[in-house]
Amino acid sequence: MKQDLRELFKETDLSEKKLPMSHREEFIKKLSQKRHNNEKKLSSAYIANIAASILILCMLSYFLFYQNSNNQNEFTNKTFLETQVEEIENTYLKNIEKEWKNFLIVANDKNLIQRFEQKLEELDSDYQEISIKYKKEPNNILIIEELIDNLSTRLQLLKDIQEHIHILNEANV
Amino acid sequence: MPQINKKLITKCRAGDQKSQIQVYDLYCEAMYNVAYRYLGNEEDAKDALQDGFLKAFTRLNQFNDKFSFGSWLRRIIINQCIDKLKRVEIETIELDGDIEVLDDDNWDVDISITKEFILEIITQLPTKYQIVLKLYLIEGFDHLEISTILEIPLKTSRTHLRRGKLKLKELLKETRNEARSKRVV
Repeated sequence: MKQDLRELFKETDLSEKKLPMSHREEFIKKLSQKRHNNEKKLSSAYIANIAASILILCMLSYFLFYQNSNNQNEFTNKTFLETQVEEIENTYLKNIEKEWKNFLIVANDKNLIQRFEQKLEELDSDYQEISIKYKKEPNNILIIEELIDNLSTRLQLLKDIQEHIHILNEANV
Repeated sequence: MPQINKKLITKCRAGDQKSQIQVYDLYCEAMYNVAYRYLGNEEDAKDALQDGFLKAFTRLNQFNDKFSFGSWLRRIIINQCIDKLKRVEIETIELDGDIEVLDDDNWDVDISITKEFILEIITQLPTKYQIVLKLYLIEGFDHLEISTILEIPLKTSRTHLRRGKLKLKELLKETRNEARSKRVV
């Protein structure tokens, strides 16, 4: 007489093995540790954000102060402020370009790439509009903030989607 | 498999530690047995179990009602075990002389053979065969699922399983013959 192995395994449960002692305490410890690490990670990211904002504010107030005290020499002040903004812009654009290339490597979904390309293009056309405003009022903090916001949104967008793809790949489910 | 309600999952997703421990309590025994099946060692099985749970909690936003929570969790635990067993070991397969396609669907063995005996024989096979046989027979996964879990091509998964089955049958026969000849003496 024969039996099908597949049927045999469908039937009863397999033998039960008991977990080692104190496994529960160990798990609770691991769980708390992980939470603690996450919180630390979060708060350091938060602090970095605040630090960046303060830096920008300091820079801007310095420019304004500098400009007010040297009203006569408008030409040099303007270039100084502009070079700073330009520098920030360049750094961002470089990073965005880098992240975009990374994204193209990890993403294998044409629709997804297209969707993000479109989003970035929209943000870029917004940027062009803000740039025109900026050229008219190069000392307006709000406009400069808008510019930087636009750039950082693009960068964050690319980082987030990559993180998401990474998690999906790892999960495999 | 224990049942779990949606509310508990939502709380876990929000990071509520009490609920997470509750889910651990519900599933740890079952999942420990799954992990032990692949790793064959109590300490490794416990680690894979706990790391798998931690991973599952951070990925709860990817869980959907398409699967039951238990089978979703089981996949994560199995993946955790496979990682431990080093994927390299599974991937190295020679695809030469692939001609044993006949009889692919025949899983018949003698009726007197017990499940415990088969499991014992399976653990004597090379790791790569062990894993596919367990995924197929015990977990009931199909080739597509096996190939995704092991990150190997579908064809390789089929070949592994076919060869694993042949080796299992050979070994079953040998072991039984040995037992029989001992009895005759």
